[in-house]
Amino acid sequence: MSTAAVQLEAAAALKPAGKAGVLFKRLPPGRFDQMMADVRQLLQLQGNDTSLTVEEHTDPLGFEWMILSGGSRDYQDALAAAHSVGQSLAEEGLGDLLLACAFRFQQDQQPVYWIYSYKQASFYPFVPTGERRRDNAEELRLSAIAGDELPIDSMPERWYALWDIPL
Amino acid sequence: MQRKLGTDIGLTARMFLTMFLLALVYLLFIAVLWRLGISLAFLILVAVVLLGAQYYFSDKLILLSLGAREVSEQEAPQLHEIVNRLAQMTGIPKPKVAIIDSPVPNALATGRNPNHALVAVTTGILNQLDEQEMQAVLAHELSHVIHRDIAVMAMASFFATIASFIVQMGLWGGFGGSGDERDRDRGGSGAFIVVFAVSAAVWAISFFLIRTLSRYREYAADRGSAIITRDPSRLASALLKISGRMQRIPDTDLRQMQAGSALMFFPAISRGSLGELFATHPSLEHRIARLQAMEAQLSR
Repeated sequence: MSTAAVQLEAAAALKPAGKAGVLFKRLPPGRFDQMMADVRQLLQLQGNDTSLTVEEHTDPLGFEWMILSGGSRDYQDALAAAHSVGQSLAEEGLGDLLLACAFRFQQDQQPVYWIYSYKQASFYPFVPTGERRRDNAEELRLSAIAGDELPIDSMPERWYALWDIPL
Repeated sequence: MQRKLGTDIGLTARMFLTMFLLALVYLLFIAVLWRLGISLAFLILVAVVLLGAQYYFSDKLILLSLGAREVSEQEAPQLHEIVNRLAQMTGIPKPKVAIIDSPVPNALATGRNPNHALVAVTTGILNQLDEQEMQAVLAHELSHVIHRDIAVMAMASFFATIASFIVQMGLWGGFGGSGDERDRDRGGSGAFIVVFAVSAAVWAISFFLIRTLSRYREYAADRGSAIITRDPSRLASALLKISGRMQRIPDTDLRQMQAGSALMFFPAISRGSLGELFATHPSLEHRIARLQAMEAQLSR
């Protein structure tokens, strides 16, 4: 992610916005709260090493988000947190409930997202431009630019939208 | 940031190799016909008339055969503006502009040279693409005009047409029976069988070579569009959009997909399969991959 971020900033004026979100499909009762506690504890253990903070959010569709803000500019510690969450859920056989991880970037004033799909183990870009509208050409351009550094989902028909991301 | 695209040497080389092989096949064909004393003059006359007509009237033929209607600037101001802009950028005379009333998204260029060019688009493609994507598609079509692809393909299929003409005549039993004295001396129907077999082989080989050449011309036109617009991803986006529902980037939300995920399936799309040998256009995956490579090159 960090070399890709450098490449994207140089070639497409894409700046990391310091916000990432892990998206979950309905977890068993209490499991989300427990996970939030785990991540908070993990962050506390890291102490001064990270300025990453964590919040929870339930979107209008009823999906839960773990929102990670701040932290290192290249999303390295957000990625580490998202990875540990993924591992603990996978160990319990709940890996399917982990949908995606979204990383917010800024391009001029517009938000641009890189979505990591746990199922495909790859990234894809998402450039919303308005009410259920996205800029496909820009998405293809970004994927071409980052293609050498990021594993990108090679089938654009799987680049599902995430409208109104709470990031 | 330097935005530059050189020429694709590999593509040019393959294009020339294909044309060379095609010429070789045709030379062998002529040699066999000549050796067997077939009256070439008549066949060539027929082919020249057919191809000449196709070459000379191609813009009008397209208008007729596809129901394309030439439109004035008042009727389609936006479309004319894009074509005008592209013509100025590339320094060719502005082609005629036509619209085909069809929901199937498509665009094409025709005309024997840049002075007699016509670009036609369907109402379907106009509805599906935004202005910049339309510009990328029209830049692809104008590249065909600039590369004189209509003339190149007409010439490439010249002898293939003669060969298929002979094959058809053979299948109808139209010749061989009443040859003149000279033919009979050489063994009449035996010669006919050879000519028929050779013609069939020439037709079959040139079928593949012409299609290979056509695919290279498409890559070259994609490249042309990328060079003219400096925006290969716009063409890639347009190609995905007009490819039908299957391969386009979805507007569906990932969360909504999860609700009915049991019903979701992806059909096994054959990628870069043998089927491409028969196609006049390269597969979408290959075209997108090349456009992506050009985009990566531009961003360096």
